[in-house]
Amino acid sequence: MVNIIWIVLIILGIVYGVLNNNLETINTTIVDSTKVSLEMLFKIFPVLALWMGITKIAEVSGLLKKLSNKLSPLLTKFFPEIPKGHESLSLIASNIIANIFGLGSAATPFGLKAMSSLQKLNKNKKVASRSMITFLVINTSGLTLIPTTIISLRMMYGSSEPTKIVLACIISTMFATLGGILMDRFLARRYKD
Amino acid sequence: MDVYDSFIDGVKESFSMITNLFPTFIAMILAVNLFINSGVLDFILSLIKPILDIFKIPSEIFPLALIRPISGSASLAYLNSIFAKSDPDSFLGLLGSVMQGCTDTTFYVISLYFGSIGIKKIRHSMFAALFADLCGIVASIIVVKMFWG
Repeated sequence: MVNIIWIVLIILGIVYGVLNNNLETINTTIVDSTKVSLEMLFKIFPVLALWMGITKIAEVSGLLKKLSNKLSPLLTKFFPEIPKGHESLSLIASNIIANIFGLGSAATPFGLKAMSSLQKLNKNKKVASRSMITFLVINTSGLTLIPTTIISLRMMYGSSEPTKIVLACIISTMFATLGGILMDRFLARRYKD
Repeated sequence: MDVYDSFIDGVKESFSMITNLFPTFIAMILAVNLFINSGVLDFILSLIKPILDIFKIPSEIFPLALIRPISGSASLAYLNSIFAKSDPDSFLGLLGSVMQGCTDTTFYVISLYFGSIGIKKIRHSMFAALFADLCGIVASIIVVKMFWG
């Protein structure tokens, strides 16, 4: 799937650029994109390193285990394939908790570790497992209760009430997450492997 | 328990993660930027404008809905331009805020998370995730119309 999307995006971009005599933009975009990706990597690397260190402390100290114990009765309903007490459940719980409080930079390391933990349970290492897909859908659908970036942007542009949007965001996010989970359930049942 | 050693061990793990991420990053940013900069995106927008007019949805919001799942920074930049043109407390400004806030960057999260562990077949995850985005976008339009419409 990524394969197809990647090729389609690139071919559409190049063909459209060529047809419109816009070869120069295409050229600079191709050269620049490696530079942009390196810059993005440098931006997330320090944050990732710091949070990986902190999360390791939370993990070793048993804090994660406590947190996840509270969330896991609920999580086992969404992730029936994960054995009870498996480390991935506590990592997923931590990712969800960090996301809900708008700590995006803290959520990503937990999410990545949850994925590699789910990979240990996965039979075919090249193919996404059902738990991975469910976790991803929950993650991509937002989850945030407090959209900090948007609130600060609204402040910057002189909004009279920057936090006015919070309730509307929460309601919309809930619909997104719910829709994603239902679609995931439906498709997983249809394409059993 | 050795807090210091745990911290060092954790930081060490981030190196292998970064090496795994770099190829995915280059690949996705190359494709997305080609798609946006070549003008394909603008072309698609011009096709869809008449449909939006029927539902009385301001067409300025559509690029945001389309870019949101593809690129977080690009959609934030677009929201920036909406705020600059019309007040963040206007209908368009509120709709943009909620739309930006109710979903995450699907393409980025999928390539990041699956790329880090070498998954090649992602099965139905892209479709389900994009469907979640669609639900969020439609919900944000309805909610904002109900609240402030």
